[in-house]
Amino acid sequence: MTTDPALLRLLHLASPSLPTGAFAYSQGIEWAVERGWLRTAADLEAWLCDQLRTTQSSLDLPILARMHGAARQGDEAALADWTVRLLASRETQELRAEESNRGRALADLLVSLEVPGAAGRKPLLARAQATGFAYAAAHWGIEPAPTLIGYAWGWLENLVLAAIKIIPLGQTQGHQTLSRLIEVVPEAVERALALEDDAIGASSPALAIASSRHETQYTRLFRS
Amino acid sequence: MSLQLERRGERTVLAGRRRRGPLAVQRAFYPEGEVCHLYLLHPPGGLVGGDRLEVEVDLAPGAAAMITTPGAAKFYRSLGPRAEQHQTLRVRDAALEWLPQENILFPGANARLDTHVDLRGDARFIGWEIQCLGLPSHQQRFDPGCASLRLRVDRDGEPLLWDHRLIQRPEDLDGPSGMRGLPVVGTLIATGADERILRLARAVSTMDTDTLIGVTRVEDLLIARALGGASDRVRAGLAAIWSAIRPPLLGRPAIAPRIWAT
Repeated sequence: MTTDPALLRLLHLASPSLPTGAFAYSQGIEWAVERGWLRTAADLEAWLCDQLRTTQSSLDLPILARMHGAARQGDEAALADWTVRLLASRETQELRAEESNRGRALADLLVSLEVPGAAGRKPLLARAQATGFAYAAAHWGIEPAPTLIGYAWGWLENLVLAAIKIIPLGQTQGHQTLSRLIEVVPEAVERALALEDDAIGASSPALAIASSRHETQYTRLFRS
Repeated sequence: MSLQLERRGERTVLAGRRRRGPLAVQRAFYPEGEVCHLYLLHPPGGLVGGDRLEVEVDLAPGAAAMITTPGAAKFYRSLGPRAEQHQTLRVRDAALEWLPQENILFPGANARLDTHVDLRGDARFIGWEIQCLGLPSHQQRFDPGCASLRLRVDRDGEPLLWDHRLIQRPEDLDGPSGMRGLPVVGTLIATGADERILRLARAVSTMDTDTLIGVTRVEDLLIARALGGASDRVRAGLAAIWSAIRPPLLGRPAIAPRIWAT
């Protein structure tokens, strides 16, 4: 029997129990629900499937893959450039704040786990959650494709759990939604890994408007 | 085409102009004193596959200009090659307003539209881009159609906003978190925004069922996004924000260019 330490590390890194405050963020879902855009499990599935096929596959995941490569090669400048570019692609103040707040929490954790080099690079790792995720994955020997799968899974699970509370939906409906969306993840990862640098980027007007409006939403439980 | 704007005494003047191809610029005029107003004229026949338009605008320190267009830029059906429009706006310690009318992408067009705003030093900028995908007034969707629409804002060489909308398949027009089946998308950005400017912009951003608007602020950059069923409504939404923020940001009353009304 073979054991796979990298897989265990990936499960840890993608775990919702990490202290990155994932449960505090809805990425515009809270406003979209108030507006009536998301009422059912099917609406939620379409909302997240759309983002898997656009934002995730042409922005988050291809940048994560490049960050992972940069971390593996010890290319600090490339890691910093992709971090800045990811932040510049986050469309609203709340989405940028989420990336940085979660980045700080993850960077703190990597330092306390004594991941080599994390302490010295903390200012960079703390800028974006994706940066710390890529850095840790590279350190633990997780290959690019599983790194992207783990990140996409963590993103999906967090938002489905947020939406279950907001819409609200039953736990079983949430897991049915997750189960169907899992089938879209491999294609998003494959597209991300094949994308050329020049094609990277995304723009989701409705999501950006939802997130902008959420910044002044009167009653809100989530920070994005 | 490339345009150089410089301050000479009280006024900003068009100090340099290089032109090749069908783009033209009308004589500068001064409806409000020192600010140089320019109309950029797109080729009347629009763009077809294989055409490439390049616009470069440079503002030297102290210059102030408002550039708009008297009509929409049209990108027609292409049977293959891509039509491209590349716009580079360089503003160094100067103030630029960039308020063109919409880009209309006809059904079947294949187009790449890039706008790069390069801000240096104490640059002030208010600008918008409005993209109309298909011909909503004729109920014609952008299907088939292929578009890569990019807006990039850098300050002192550091990326501040990168936005890249890619439309390759009909479903890219309907994504619930994307365009929601609404064919017109507009983005307004403005530098120098603080909380008060953000509040002013939000106060005039009212939505109806057919036009969605959201305003946010990252660092000092105000970003308003509008999504709607018709170009004039989206432009009116962004123009209301421009009217609210121009006086505090640039110290001038917001009098809409007459050309918008025609």
